[in-house]
Amino acid sequence: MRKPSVHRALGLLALALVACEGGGASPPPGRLHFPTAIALSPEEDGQSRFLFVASSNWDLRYLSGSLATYDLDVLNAQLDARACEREDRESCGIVPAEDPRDDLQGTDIVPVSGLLVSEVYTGAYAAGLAVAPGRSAEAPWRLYLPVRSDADLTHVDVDPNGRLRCRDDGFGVPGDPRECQDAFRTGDDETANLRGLSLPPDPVGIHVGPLADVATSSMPSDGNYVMLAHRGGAVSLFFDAPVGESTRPRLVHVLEGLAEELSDVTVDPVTKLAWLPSAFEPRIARAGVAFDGEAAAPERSFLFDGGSLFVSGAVDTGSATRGDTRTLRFDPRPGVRRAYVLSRAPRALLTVDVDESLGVLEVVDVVPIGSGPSKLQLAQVPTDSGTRVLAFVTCFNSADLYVIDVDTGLLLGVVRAIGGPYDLAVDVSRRRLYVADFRQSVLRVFDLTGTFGCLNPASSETTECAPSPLGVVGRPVAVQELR
Amino acid sequence: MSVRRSSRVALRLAIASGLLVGCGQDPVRVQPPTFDRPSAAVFLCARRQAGTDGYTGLAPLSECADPASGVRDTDALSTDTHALLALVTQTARGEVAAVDLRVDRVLDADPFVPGYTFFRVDETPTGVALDPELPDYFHVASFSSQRIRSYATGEVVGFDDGEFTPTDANVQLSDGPVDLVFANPGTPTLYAALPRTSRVAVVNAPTGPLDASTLVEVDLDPTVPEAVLPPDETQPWEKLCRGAAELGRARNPRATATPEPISLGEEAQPTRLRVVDDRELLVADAARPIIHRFSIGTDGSLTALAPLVTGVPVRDLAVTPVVPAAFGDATGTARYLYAIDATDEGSVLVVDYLEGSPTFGAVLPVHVGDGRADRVRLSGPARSLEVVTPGFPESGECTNDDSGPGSLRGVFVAVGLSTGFVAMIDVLDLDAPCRGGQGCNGMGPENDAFVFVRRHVARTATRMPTAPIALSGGVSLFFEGAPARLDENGRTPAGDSAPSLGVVTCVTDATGAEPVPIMTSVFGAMPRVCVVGEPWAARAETWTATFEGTIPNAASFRARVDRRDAGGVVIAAPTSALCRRGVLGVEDVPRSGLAETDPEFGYAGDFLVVTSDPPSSTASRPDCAPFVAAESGERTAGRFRILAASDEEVVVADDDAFRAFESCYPSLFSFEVEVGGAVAVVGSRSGFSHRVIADAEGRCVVDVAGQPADPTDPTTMRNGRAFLGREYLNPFVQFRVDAPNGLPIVSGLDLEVEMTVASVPAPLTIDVGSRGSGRVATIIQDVAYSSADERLYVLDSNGNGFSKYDLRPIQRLALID
Repeated sequence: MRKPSVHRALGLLALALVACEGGGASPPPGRLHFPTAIALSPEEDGQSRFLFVASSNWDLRYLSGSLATYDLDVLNAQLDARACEREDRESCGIVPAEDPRDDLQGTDIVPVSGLLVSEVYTGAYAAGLAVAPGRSAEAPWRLYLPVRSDADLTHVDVDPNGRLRCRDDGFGVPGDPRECQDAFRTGDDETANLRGLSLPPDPVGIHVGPLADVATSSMPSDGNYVMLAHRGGAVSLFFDAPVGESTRPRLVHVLEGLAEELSDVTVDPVTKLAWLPSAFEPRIARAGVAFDGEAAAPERSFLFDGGSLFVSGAVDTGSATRGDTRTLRFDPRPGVRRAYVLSRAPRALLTVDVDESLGVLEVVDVVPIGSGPSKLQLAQVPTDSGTRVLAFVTCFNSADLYVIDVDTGLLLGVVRAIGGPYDLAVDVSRRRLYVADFRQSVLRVFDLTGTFGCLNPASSETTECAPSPLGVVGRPVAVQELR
Repeated sequence: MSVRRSSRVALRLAIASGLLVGCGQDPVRVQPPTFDRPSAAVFLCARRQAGTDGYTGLAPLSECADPASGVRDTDALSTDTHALLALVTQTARGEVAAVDLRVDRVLDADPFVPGYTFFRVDETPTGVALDPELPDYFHVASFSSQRIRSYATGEVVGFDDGEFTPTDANVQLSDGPVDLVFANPGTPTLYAALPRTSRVAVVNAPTGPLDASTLVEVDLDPTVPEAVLPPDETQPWEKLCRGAAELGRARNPRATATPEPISLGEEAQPTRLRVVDDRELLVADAARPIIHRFSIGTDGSLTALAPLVTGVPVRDLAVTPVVPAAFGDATGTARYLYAIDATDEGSVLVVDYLEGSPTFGAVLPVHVGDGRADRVRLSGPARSLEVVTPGFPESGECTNDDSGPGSLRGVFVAVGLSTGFVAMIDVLDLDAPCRGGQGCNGMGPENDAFVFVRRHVARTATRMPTAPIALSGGVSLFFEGAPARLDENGRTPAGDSAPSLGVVTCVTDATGAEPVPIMTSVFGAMPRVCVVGEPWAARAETWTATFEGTIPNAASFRARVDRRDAGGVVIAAPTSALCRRGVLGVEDVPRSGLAETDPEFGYAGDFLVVTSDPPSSTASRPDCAPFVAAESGERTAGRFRILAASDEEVVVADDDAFRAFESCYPSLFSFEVEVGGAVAVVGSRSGFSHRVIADAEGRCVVDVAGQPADPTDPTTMRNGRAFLGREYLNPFVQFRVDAPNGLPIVSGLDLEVEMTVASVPAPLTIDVGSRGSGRVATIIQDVAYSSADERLYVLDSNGNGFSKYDLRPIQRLALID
């Protein structure tokens, strides 16, 4: 890991001064500020109703980051009504009416009511966002955010109307968000931590799954388990189960000594082994959960090192000792034992045969992509010839987005000049793609009608396969404007 | 709350530092446009006036191939009258770049725009083609637009207006094309692969631009006919010298049982096209285990021929010219088709492609040694291949000065590997007569005494003045904590009181008229260690033979007692894949139906060894003390003979010892598996060799039927367990460890033998990622050969580079990016 240079140190000092001089101001309500994570709510009747977006407050301009719920019906209806011209889609869109900004002159961006459903303040530098079943009908979903500034796991309950709750005194109100209470943040001050564990810093990736996935069949297993990947080469395990009066996740175990610069964590749906890519070493670490006993006695469960898979023997990383892999996703189709790995060295989407990967990644396809690939989402798209799986890849450095048919390895399209594409979510039912633009602090919305149409050769709907930009949510703000 | 707030500033500083560093690891670089995901290239010729810049017109490629043009001569820049150009598709931006290969420079389409700008074509171009003899127009296939479009070459190359005729010719297809090729059997014609509609599009271009009215789409038949059986044995073209005056012989590749064909789909999925001699079209199919064949009529039409049954879908293919069948034989001929297997990590297969051959269309046995006989052994997965023919067919006699591994004259197959290297497969080396001297008389190039040149084998990189393959550093023995080096008699200074290496008879192939050595003695006055003697079969690695050693990766971190049945105690070990690791229990050995000649015969079963301490709730109990590891890591208890093994379970005896263990381990525990009463032989690259599979009931058994063992063929002897006093043989090494005289062989005997096989000739490879300051990551997208300048070009999608290589000798001339 590189050490900060002198210039970076000065930059840190400047940032700290900004934070101090800001006087602890909260972020303006309804405003995106360096969004880093987005997620769709679970589908109801075949469609997601809400989009959750976490803003990181990366420049520490404000006191905290934020988490917001957007109504997708309102979002899409309003953008469709805007009918932004293609050449104007950079400055055409909508913002929540609750955002008190006064810099919309000269843009074609209009305030919209009903867009923002709920909003809360979290710690800065949310590094991910996961949605899982909640504990009651009143809170059917629970969101988990790894927060790097506080090195904690924040959980937020969501009611059926998309309202967020991370305080005992009520839901987050659009226009008047409040900070999440400590009871909703789990760090290393866990009083029930019988193992004396401390949560490592820098959580960079999160996976949430049903506790039943890792529990032995004879044990009660309601609730979720949460795994965090930590940048320094550790992975932590939480159980979030309804035990007694407890309403929050509990830290169960920490496994250290995995690869340095871990970048994400994703669990193989069959073996339940977690795969942890590394942005520094030419291997993907793996860890498993050994669930032992009842959820009420979590101290008997632990994480174990499942052995690494080396990347350098499968593709050319440029060095036998260095590598760089980021997000990976397992093929969602039953019986298809493939994983798709974002590699930065080389710049490619790697298709991996999971079952044949013994010690070394068994790479069966290498699809070149842009510079700085960051996030990957898979989408199952129904076509005339069956379900196809598309990979959507954001490339932060080259500011573009790639769409790849994973079965054929064919590049369907490239969207260029996006700004700073980072996290993304694919709304298959609405044929929409939502991309968090980290550099310009907006949400970019794309139409996937043409992309999906290209999967049917006989379709005459389109001559362009790349996603088509529709407009933005928020006002694009270049970084230099923040001075 | 207050504690958390007070720590926030400090944490923010730390996190901001980390984030800035993290962002710094991938700085946003503003780069002027250059190559962007280059994927395909075609070559064309332009005329120029010597001594001036620019071009005076386009020319047939044959003019550039004429030595008088100066194209091949890198020193003739001031006098050459022609320039070789290339058109390279840029997939990410939907553009075509023009490159002047004479001065290694990208041509800028618009000099008023900073950086290089290229010619805009349709979205996601997947193929480019042109008539090499009439390059006034080129054609681009676009997957997204589902069409082929023609363009005036002059627009791209930069002729003045009036010197070219723009065109807007295009044809809409039923599917997005993924490859495009050109042929001129009498009528200039384009062919495009349409994978999702299982067709090949055919469209004429009689006057230059394509004529959309001539479009015909030909359906591909997915039927897989009976495969042509290969010959039992092939006698490849080869020149082998084992020192002066010793014309060597080596084993011939032999056919093995043909596996069942593999399909990846029900319909044909054309992925790559090749035109052969302007009269035949080959279509690689990524779904069906066949290569489609068509004859091309004079009007460009296609007539289906019987397909080649490859047994697997393939993703790329190339065809050699007709070459001599055997070394020194001017009468016999051969021709080959090389293809990349699309079902595995990218192996290369070879098909008999000689018209009239009784085995035409058969996948040939080409490899001797460990690994599939019908696959070329390469150092990495193949991504792209191309036949290169520098100096072929006629370029004079060989000379000692010019003959060597690094100079290619003849017919070879260049294979782009996913490891970033290009490997070379020998097909016909025109310099072979000089290598080692005529008839291996030792009068050849200096240091070229040992020569191993064989068709279908990766070319070796260096000359060999001495016999290749030897042990490095002799043989080491570790016995009861004392290290020692074995002498030529296989003994240590301790003599009879220590283990030793016994004399063995190196395996030879006695099936032919004369015996051919397979294993070669590399240690001992009498043979005591033998290794496979052919460079293409050998492997440089360290072999470690440990008495009751651990089977690599046969372990579980979350084992638990699952249940008891009549057989004993069943221990569950989820996702441990124990059969795949080679684990065998006591009952699994006789269950396998082994014969006395099988190497596993008489084996008494592996041991389960507990590797975790009891939980804190029981660790302090005196009866659990034996299970707590000492400082040395050793435990005095926790070792149980495996009665039966499955992929995710083992059965051990329900006896007092196990019950004592169970009382100390109420929860999950970890274990690994050790070989019992025998020596675990593990190669640093080959690992633990075995023939164990899971049978129909999930039990681990030796695969006697599917992998029969033949002691005369080391490649079949897959066994990682050696017995003291019994000769041990695996595909790479052969030896015998004898126990010390009078010393009983008991569990816990501390014995380990180690030896390193080295001096294995490295294959010749081109490192595409090599830079002056180190290496960069690469993705070899395509390998192309220009017969005009007899040079190799490699497209790298990761580095966005177009590398140019001379082949006589091999050297990079330029990196264009």
